[in-house]
Amino acid sequence: MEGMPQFEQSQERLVGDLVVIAEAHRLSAGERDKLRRSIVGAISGNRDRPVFLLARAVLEAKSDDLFNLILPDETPLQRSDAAFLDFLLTAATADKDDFDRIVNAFDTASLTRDPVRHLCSSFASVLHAYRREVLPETRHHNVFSAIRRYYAQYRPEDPHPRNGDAVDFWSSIATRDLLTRYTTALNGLSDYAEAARLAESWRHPVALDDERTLDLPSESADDALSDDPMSSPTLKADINIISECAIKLLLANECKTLTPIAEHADVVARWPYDTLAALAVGPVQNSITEALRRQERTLDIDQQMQKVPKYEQIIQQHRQLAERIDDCLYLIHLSGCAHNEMAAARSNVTIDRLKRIDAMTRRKGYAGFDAGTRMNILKQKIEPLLHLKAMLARYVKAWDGFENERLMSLEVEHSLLFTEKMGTLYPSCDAGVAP
Amino acid sequence: MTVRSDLQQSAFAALQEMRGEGGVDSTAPRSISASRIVAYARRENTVSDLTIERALKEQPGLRRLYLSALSRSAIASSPLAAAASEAKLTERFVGEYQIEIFEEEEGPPWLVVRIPEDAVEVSTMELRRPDGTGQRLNLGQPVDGVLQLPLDPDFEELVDVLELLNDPMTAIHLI
Repeated sequence: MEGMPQFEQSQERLVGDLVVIAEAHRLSAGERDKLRRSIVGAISGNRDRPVFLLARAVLEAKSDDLFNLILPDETPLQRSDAAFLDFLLTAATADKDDFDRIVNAFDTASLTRDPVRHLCSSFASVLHAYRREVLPETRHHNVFSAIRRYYAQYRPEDPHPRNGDAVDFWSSIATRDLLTRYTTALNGLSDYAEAARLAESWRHPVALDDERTLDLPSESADDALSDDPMSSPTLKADINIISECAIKLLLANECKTLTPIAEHADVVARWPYDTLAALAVGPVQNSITEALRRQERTLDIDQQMQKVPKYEQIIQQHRQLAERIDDCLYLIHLSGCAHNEMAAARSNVTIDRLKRIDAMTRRKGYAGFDAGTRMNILKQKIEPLLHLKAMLARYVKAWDGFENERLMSLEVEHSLLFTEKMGTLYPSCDAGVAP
Repeated sequence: MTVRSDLQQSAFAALQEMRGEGGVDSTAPRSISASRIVAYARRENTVSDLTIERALKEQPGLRRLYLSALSRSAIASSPLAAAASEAKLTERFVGEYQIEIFEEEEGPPWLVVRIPEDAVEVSTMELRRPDGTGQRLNLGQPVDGVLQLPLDPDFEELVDVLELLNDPMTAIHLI
């Protein structure tokens, strides 16, 4: 790999390491992608959450032998967990201290006050060392440092991120080398807040038989211990399923609109102001970046910023998409009704919705199948549609909390900040150097 | 340059190419997973995997993992001889198992493993130097608690065994 740019070298190394583990454990493409994201830290919320979950799974396996847990045909762990553990042990072989640390942590975890944390710490140490060695472009460490510096300077009395901070943070901190994209700053801030929340919870462990466990919100436990169905890759996969369906349930532009919505579904509830800004400005900034990559010399930033949609327009679009998803679910429901139930079922649906559903039934593909085949195809789309429904419900609920006046003042405020900052970040379009 | 040195150069180049030598590249992907090393350490047969054997010689980290996995699964292990000595060792204890080498005037030397009463029977022995070189051999079935194996120099795989056994730095694992 001598002579290859460092970024490509690191990608080659990561891909190679992943292939070795994926082949050893016969991982599916999805499992391989999940492992990759865990390794590089492309996880919403706390980037080390997969490590925490792995430590917990390892201890729950109650095995005396750490090495047994990585043997594909003998491990009691789930395949993806065994693969992740195998990856960590493989990475640990590069350094004697790391290797000894993991083995010792496993052997002594049960003797410590917090076995999960004890083991998690050793796993995280190995993973961070790997990231530093193989992925020097990983910016998460720099992002967190930038966040800490920002709050120390602008709000030392209250350094915890909250809704509305992301735009100010980005406009204060972003450069051509760090956090150039606003959406990256938003995700970094969200991750930092999640990491701080998790670290705070670790400082106050509560025993399971302590009465205080009754006061623990179930949401925090669920967030920490379960996979997030609102994760971007899961939702994008659902969008793909719907867009590739033989029966056209959603139009192409509707599916295209859903994709950026899926990007921020995991943060919109906590960061509605900042998510709205991301949805409005993110695509425009992507266009600017793409234009710079193509070295367009006539790019006018102010003109580009004119393409930023109005916030009210975005909110209306989401409400309409939510209706469209419901139309699809009603279509499936009506398609499954027996002939004698049809009239009663249709009478429960509004006239406007019935018109839209009737229009869907006249689309290409719907009438081309017999009833049985059609129903089989539609049944497989129920689950992804329900996920997308839940996603849009999050957004609509977030927007319902806005007052009109607040929305308008926010839009003006953001417009000024973004226009000024974009002009600073992209002062000259002649260089054509993409951020 | 003579024909002989030409041949030597060619042979050396071919050997390097075959071994893929050029030093260990820390930026190169690791070609062997920890699970594969552990599975190799715990295999029940004595078949050698040349790829792994080469990796054990070249990568100290994998060697460390291999020995750790081996010592955890072995019935008895001895990292090195109790008394380091320049002289050839003819007797060594691995746990409670006694290992001896009898060199007779005629015939090949014999490897003898004495299994104490009530101890678990062993059938395989692995020998491994600190540099990663080593071998695993099948000891056969015991008779009256004794395993005997002639180290016949006519068998290529047994030639190195005597040298390994006589090296006080060799770790011995009984499986």
